[in-house]
Amino acid sequence: MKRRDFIKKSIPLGTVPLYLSGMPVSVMAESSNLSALTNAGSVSDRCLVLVFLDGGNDGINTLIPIDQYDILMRDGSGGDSKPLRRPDLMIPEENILKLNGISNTGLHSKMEKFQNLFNDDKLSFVRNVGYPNPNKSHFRSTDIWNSASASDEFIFSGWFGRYLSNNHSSYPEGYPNNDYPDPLALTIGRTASNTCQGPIVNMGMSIKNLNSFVDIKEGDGEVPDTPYGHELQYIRTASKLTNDYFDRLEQAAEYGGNSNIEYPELNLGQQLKIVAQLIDGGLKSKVFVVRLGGFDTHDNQVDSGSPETGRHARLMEELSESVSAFQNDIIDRGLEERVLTMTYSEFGRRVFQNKSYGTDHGEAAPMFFLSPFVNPNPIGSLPSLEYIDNIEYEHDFRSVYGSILMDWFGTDEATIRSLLYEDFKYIPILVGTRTNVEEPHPMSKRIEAYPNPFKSNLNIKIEIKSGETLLKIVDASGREIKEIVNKKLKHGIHNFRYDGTHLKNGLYFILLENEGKRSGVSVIKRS
Amino acid sequence: MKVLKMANLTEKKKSINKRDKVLARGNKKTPQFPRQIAGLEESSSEWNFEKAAHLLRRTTIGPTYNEITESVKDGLDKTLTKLLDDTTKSFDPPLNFLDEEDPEIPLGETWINAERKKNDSKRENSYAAWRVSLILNKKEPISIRENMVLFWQNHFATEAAVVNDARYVYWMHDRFRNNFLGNFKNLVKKVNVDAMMLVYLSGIYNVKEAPNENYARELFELFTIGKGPIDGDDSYTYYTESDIIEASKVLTGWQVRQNFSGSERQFFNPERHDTSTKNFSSKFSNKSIANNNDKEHEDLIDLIFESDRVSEYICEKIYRWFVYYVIDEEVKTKIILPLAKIFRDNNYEIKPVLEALFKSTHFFESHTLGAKIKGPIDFSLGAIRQMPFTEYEDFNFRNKYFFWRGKHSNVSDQGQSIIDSPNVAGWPAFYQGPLYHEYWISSVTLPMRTTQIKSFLSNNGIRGFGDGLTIVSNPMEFVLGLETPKDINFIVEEFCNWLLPVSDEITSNTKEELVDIINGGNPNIWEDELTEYLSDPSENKKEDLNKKLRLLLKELCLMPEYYLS
Repeated sequence: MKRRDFIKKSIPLGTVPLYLSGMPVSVMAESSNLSALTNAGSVSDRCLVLVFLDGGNDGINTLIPIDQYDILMRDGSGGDSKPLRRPDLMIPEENILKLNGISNTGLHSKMEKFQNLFNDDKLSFVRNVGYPNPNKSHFRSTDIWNSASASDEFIFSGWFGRYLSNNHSSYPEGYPNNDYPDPLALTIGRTASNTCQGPIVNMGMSIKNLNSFVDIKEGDGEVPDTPYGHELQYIRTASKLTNDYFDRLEQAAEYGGNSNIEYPELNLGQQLKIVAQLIDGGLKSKVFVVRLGGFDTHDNQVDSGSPETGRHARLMEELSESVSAFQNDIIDRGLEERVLTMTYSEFGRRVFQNKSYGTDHGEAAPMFFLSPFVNPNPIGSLPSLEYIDNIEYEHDFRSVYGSILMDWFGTDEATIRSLLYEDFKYIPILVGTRTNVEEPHPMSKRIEAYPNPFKSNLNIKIEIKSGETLLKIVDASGREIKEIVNKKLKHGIHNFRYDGTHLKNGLYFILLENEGKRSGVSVIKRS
Repeated sequence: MKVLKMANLTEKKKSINKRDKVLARGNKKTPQFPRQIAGLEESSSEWNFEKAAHLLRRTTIGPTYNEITESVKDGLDKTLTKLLDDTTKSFDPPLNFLDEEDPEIPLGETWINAERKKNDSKRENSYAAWRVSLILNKKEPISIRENMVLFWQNHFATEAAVVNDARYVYWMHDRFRNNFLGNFKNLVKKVNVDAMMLVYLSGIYNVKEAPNENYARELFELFTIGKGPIDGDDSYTYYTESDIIEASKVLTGWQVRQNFSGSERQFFNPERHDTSTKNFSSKFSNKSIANNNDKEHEDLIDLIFESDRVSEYICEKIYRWFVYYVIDEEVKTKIILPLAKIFRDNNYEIKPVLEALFKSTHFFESHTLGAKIKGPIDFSLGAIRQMPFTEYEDFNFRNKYFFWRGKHSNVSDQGQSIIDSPNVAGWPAFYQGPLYHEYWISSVTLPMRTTQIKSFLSNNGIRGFGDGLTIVSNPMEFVLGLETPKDINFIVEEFCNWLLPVSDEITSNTKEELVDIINGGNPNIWEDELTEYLSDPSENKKEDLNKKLRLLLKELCLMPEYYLS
């Protein structure tokens, strides 16, 4: 039985926040012994990979609402009460890929690898992500997504750039340095992504491939206080940064070495291959940005009479194949738990098809997340598409960003509100990742605890190798509550039950030591 | 302890966020200069080498030393007359140099009126190479033409990769070349129904039953009036979402021909045209446009051009292209608004606007000189054009095309493909704040620029023609034409004036270092070597001197100052 199935039977995770709100930060901060206990990876090792689907991805043909299949097949012949939907675009119902535990939604038939990842609890999604008063211009909406601004607000900096500039306010002055020898952000492509634009300068850099390291002439001397001097200084600074960072990138590329995994010979796959190699080589950039273009499918989104081929099908395949190769690569390199991958697009597309086998600019759309820590229960429910042309947003993309900053990078809520959005609302996209506040996270799935949150009985399932095994429950400050088992156990799966009726509400950790390895999961008591 | 620290951080974060929003209100504060700029009044300062070099750098691509000295002799007025001479010229069309299997067009023939070809990439290659050849051409008198074609194709940006028909690209850009200083209003009317545009922005799918708003949206947002801030539901200050829908109805009914000859590329199909009356919002005084069939799209342009905002938006684009990207209140008041008035007073003719700009005090003042970061075409093709190279005129046409195609890769790798805009908004350097022109400079492009300069000025010369052919830079030819070629200090001085903007800012230290590249600390070496060569010339001796000069030029062109115009 999968984790998803356990959880589904208990409490819908999508609605109950699985987070630390209400836990005093000071308590969390002092329980640093916990991380020693659990071997939990630290936030400083983590990075985010952003996959920008440029042009506006058609969410409805990516995550297909099977339960509305008949409605979506309407060709407009039923009069005003049954308006045209998208009959020419719909993949044959039997070819839509099924998702375990979910009956109303399936994946595009070219996304088999995404299906596998989902069924392995390593991929999840949030639906209907967007923002109020949506803008349907590519450029403006891309700016909005990159800057995390409201529809009527113009912010130069990118959301991740602002996050970085908080901790690196003097950048680029004094960078790189001993503490931060690596680019803070790296775009694989021609220019550094606007996502990483800081309040003044871009916090990141870009490389097109791993062979572009040459010495740039830097120049020196005073510059006049004129536009000429301003631009001259910019070029000099950019040259110096490029030289310094190239040294590090070159080293990381060498240490990382070639991949054992075969990537598709496609643009996105080749970009992600570089990312895996550099992370493995020790590059500590916090964010990597890659891009897949071509999503503006106004026409020929599908081939006429063949909805499973055409522009969109090729893109879905490239996305699914490339990202899954990347996931295999980072697993092979032992990096899986340090890397979170997230897709985004500037908008979704309209519900109804146009006359060109395509769709026009729409509003909200789904986002995918890949990590062993994803909440296996997808978030968001699709509205009825019978009469609407645009899918209204249900989750604000700034809340998605904020939840990632909170759960993946340990950013506190006040900071998130100030960086992104006053109305931030937490969305439980990740589970068990709070190591910044010293919460352990599972090293692989050797340990599972359910239901979560729990009221009384907590079921604990462990998968171990034969040998001395210590399993215990501790509170948020690291104090031991109960030793559940401490003896030699046989290889395999063991189940335990712990009655926590008497426990106070709050956060607890289940810790496992076996074969010299430590793992842990967090659980919430809620009565 | 830790809690306290976090609280402090939060305060700091808030202040950063606040500052960011101040910046965000417009470019007026990024960057800021303690300055007071001059206006459009005619420049009265002395005409000299620095000013002539500045004008030619900004209006042409890679001016040669001789072009600048000639312009010094001509004076500003005559130079402008030459630059802005808009007499139509005809050029040999692009040739098939690559596709040996084209059933219709043999190698060496042009494909511009050929039948549609499914796999079009070889024609696209041919087109890109041909454009490079026009930019590198030094046989014609100085002209702003190729720069203006780039301006227009960036304004009405399209992607061959989307349309897959090099013929349409050719004919659209040919329109720009034939009207490079023409009437903007008429140009928009032509572009409305241009075949390339009809395919690129889905105009051919825009039919009465299902209006496709792709083109109409960009017509407002990018091509004419520009998008303003949101000022209400679905409203962008100068137009609304409903205006887009109404405009897309106006534009219904246009189709393109797969096969054509000459001008017959698009046609109007009345059966696809929405004949209803189209009603516009209060942004357009609630006016409506009645059915007018194939002339109706022109009525739409007339309506849009009733707004003064069109002239301001276009003058902003002209300013960002030719002058600098910071358009603050001062620039707006002293330059943009007066230029926009000239534009309207002249019924949207481009030439009077450029004339006023290029004669203005502001164009030649220190706030403008050297402030523009060269784009890839300006930098890479400019470098080749302005350097003296051995001739390749007599090479086989295919060898030449191979070379030009390679040079196009040099610029498209840096993000300035001549056939594919990044998207319909054009190159981000001209619209994407706060970086704007700085967009061209990144850790990706810096190594490319470095590598290219080194290869252009290598002793082995530039390859890429095929058949082992090369061209080699020949700076001796240029040096021997100088007044006092034996004076190495003078040579360095002239190189700086020619290649670097604001050469007054180049310190004497830097110049000494440059001189040292030639004579290695022995003050008379250059003079001795040159005297020796002149008394008994030989190719070997000349090449030895060329090698020295190439080192000097390489050093100069790798200086960050050379990246500026």
